[in-house]
Amino acid sequence: MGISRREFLKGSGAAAAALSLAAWLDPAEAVEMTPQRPLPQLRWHDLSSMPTAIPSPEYLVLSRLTFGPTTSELDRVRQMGIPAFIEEQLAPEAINDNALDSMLGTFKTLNMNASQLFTGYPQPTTIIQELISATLLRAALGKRQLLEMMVDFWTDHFNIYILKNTCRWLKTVDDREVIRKYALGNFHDLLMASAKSPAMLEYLDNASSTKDIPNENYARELMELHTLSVDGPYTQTDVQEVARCLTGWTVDRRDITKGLFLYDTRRHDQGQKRVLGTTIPANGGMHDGEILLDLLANHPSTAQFIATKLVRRFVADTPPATLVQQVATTFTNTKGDIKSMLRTIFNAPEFLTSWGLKLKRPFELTISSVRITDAVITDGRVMAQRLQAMGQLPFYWPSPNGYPDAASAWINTGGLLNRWNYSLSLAEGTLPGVKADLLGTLWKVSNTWTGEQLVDFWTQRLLGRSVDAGERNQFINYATDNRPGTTILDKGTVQRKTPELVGLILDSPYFQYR
Amino acid sequence: MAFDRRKFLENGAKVAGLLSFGRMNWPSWMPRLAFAAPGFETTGDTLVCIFLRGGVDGMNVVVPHGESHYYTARPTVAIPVPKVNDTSAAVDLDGFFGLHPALIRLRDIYQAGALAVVHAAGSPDPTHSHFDAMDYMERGTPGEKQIPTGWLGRHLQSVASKNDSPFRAVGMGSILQTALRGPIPVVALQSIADFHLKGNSREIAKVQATLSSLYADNGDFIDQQGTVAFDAFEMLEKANPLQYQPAHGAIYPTSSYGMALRQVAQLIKADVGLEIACVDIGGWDTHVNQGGPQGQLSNLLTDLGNGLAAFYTDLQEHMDHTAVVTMSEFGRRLQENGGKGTDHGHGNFMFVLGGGIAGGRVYSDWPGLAPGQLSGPGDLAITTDFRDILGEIVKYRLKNDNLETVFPNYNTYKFRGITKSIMEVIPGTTSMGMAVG
Repeated sequence: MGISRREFLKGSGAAAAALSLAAWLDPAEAVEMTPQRPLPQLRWHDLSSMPTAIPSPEYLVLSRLTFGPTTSELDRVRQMGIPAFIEEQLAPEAINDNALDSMLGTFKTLNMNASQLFTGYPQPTTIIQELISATLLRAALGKRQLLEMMVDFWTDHFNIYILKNTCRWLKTVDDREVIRKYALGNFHDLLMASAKSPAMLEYLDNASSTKDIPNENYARELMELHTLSVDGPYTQTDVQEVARCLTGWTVDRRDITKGLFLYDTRRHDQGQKRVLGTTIPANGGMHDGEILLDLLANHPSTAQFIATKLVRRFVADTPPATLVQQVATTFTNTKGDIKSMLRTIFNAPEFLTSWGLKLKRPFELTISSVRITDAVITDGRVMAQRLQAMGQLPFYWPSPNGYPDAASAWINTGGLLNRWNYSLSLAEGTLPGVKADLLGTLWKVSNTWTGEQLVDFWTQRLLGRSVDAGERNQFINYATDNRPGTTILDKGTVQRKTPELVGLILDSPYFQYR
Repeated sequence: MAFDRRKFLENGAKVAGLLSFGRMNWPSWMPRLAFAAPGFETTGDTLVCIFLRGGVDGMNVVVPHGESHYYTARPTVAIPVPKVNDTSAAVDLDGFFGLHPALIRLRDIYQAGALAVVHAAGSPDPTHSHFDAMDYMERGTPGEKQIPTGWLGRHLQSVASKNDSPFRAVGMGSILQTALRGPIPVVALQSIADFHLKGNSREIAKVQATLSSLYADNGDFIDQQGTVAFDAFEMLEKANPLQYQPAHGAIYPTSSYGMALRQVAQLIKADVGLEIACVDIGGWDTHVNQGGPQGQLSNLLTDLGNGLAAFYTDLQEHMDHTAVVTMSEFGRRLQENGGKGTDHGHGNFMFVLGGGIAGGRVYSDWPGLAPGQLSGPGDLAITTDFRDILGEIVKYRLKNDNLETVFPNYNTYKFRGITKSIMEVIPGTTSMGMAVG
C-alpha cells in the first residue's frame, strides 16, 4: 500500500490545505466543499468513483480533539461547524452529559476524599478499577471529549504511577482535584495544585524530604519534566536548591489516612536559597516553594516546553517550530492559559494540514475503534487487560515522564500484533464486555450488498475516506473470496464476511492514524 | 522485507541437502551455520542486554565493604561486612567487594568463572536525569543527542552477517528499547506463545494473508514493522513454542523480567538466529526506604539474581555462545538521604556473564569514597567507561570490528580483558583488569 499513502503524506498537503482551510474559515461553505454527507443517501457510484482522499476536516478535528470520530459526531460537527464545535469543547462545564454522569455514579470511590478511601478500602483494588473504568468510559462515551484529551495529556505530564505505595488511594484524589480540575484552566494553578498533591508528594518522595538531607527526586523532575525541560537552564546545584525550597512540603503524617497536604515547618530549611539566579531570602517558610513555583511557571523555558508538548500531542510528532513559537507566545501573553494555547493550535494552518502526522497510541486505538463502530461497553475489564498488554493502561506508567507521545515508541511488531488482535476480536464480537452491532448497521442501510459496496461502505464509514485501488481490491477479494466485486453477495456471505472485513479495515495502516 | 525469501528458502534447501548433520529443521536463513561444522563457532555470541531502569544503587549491589567511608555515609542502608553464616551480610568476592546477600545465587557462577563484575563504570556525561542518561547509554553517545540510532542497532547494521532472520534481534516488552533503534528490523516481543493472529479459525488464514498484503513494505515505518511481524509469525510457528520446558531444573522468576529471560532462552535454543536480545527490569529508583539486607532493593535484587541464575542453568550447554551484560543509567549518591534512600549518582557496577567471559573477578580501578575522591554532588566516580566493556564484547564476542560505527566519537578504549577471546588474541591482557583487594 505504502506508495499512495506515502505520496499522500508528502504530496497531498497542498490540496488538503486548500480543502481544510476553506472548510475551516467558512463553516457554511464547508458543507459544500467537504466530501459526502450522511451515508444512507449515498449513491454507490459516487463512492466507487471517488478518488483516494484524505478524511474530511471534520474527521481530522474529531480525530485530534476527541478519542476518535463517531458517525453521529461527524454529522453533528458538519451541522454546527468546526469553530462552534471547538468552542463547545473548550467549555465542558456547559455540556450536558447526564448519560455518562449517571453511569459514573455507580463508581462510589470517584468522589471520595482520601480519608474515606483509606478507611473504606483497606484493599485498594476497587479504587484503582473504578478510576480506570471511569477513564475508559469518559474517553469512549463522554461528550466532554477535549476535556478528556487534556486530562490524558496532563495525566502523562504530571505522571503518577498508581501502584506506588499510597498512590493506590491518593491518585483518585489527584485525578479529581488536580488534573481534571485544571485540565483546561491555567498552567500555573495546575502546577501549584500538583506540587501540593499528596499523591505527587508521595510518588516523587518530597513527602520524605527533610532539611538535614533533602530528597532531590521531586525537585529534579519538577524542573526536568513539569516545567523547564531537560534542556532548560538549570544545574545540579539548582536541583539541590529547589529541594531545599520544598523541604517541609509533605503529607500529614499524624494521620496518613487523611491524605492531606501539610507544610511542616520543622522539616523546612529556613536558610537563603538561590535558584536559577534568583535569591530566595531566608526565613520564607512555605513561601519559598510558592516563589519557586511562580518562577518556574513563568519561565520562558516552561512556555517553550509546554508549547512543544501540546503541539506534539495535537499536530505532529516533530512539532513545527513556528507553531511551537506561537503557542509559547500565547503561554507567555496569557500567563499559562491552557484554552488560549489550544485555540492557537486549532486555528493554525499547521494543524489543519497535518493529517498523517500522528499515529494512535494504544489507548487512542482502543477507544477509537469502540467509538467508530458504536460499540456498547458493558464491562471494561478485558479492555483494560488488552491495554495493559499493549503497554498503555492508564496510570500504570512507572517512571515520571508519562507515556511517550511519539509513534516511534509504539509502532513495533508486538504492538501491531496486539492492535490487530484487539480490533479483530472487537469486530468478531469476541471481546468480552464490548459489543458492536455491525450487521444491524449494515441491514439498516440496505438489504443487498455487492462485495464492492460492502467494502466501500465500511471503508468510508470507518476511515472517513476511500482507500486506494490496490487495497480496495484486497478488501474486495477478501469479502467475496476472490469473486468479482460486482456480484451480489448472499445474506449468509455478508454475515460471515462482515466481522473480519471490519476487523481488517480497523487493523489496516489507515486506521492507525489519527 | 528487503531480502528475497523464496530465493533464500531455495538456497537453504540446497545447503541442507548437502550437509545433513542429522540436525533437523535447519533454519534455512542461516547459511552461516550451514558452512561450519556443528559446534564450531564462526560468528559471535548471542548478547543479552539487561537494562536496570531507574538507576540501581551499585554500591549496595556490589558492596565495597573494605571502605570505611561507605559505612559512615550509610547509617541505615549499608550492607554489613561479610561474615561466616550471616545471611544478611555481604557475600564476599575478593576481600574488598561483596555481593548483596540477595544475590547469593550468583556466587556459584562467579566462582565457576562465568560471571565478571565491573565497578565504578558508567557513562561519563554528568547528567542526573534518568531519561537523558538512559538515552545516552542506549544510543552509546554520551552528551550527544543528534544520533537517533542505538548502539545495538548500529552493531546489527555493521557486523558482517548473512543472517536474514526476522529474529536477529528482539526487544522484550511493549516498547522497543532505544538501544535497538536502527535500520535493521527488530522484533518487539512480549509472549512467544501469544505471538500470532487470533480470530475465527475459519477465516483467520485469509485474514492474515490480506492483512499481510496491506502492510506490504513500501518504506513506511508502520509497513516495515508490520512486515517484520508477519515474517516473525512464520518463523515462530516452526519453533513450536508451546513445548518449551527450561532445562536442568531451572526455575525463572514469574516477574515480567523473569518471563522475558525465559523466552530469550527459548529463542536461543530454538535456533531462530537470535543475535541480540534486550530485557528490562525496573523499579530501581530507590529515593525512599531503600532497605538494607532486606527491603525494597533486596526484593528487586532477588528477582535480578534468580533470573540470571535460572538463565545460566537453563542454557548451560549454550553459554559458550551466549553473553549477558547488565547496565543502568547511573548509580546512586554515596550519602543516604533523609528518607532512608539514595539520590541519583554517577558510577555503577556492571555484570558480564557467559562462557566466553573471563569471570570470577572484579574489574575495577576503584576511585575510592573519601570526600576528595567523589564526583559531582558526592557520587562514585567513573573510572571505566561503559563503552570499554561493551566495545570489548562487541569486538571479541560479537566479532564486529566496526567499533567506530557502534560507538561513534569514541576511540580511547581501555579494554579490560573481560572476554576470554581477548586473551587469546593479545596474550597477557589479563593483567589489564585490576582487582582491588
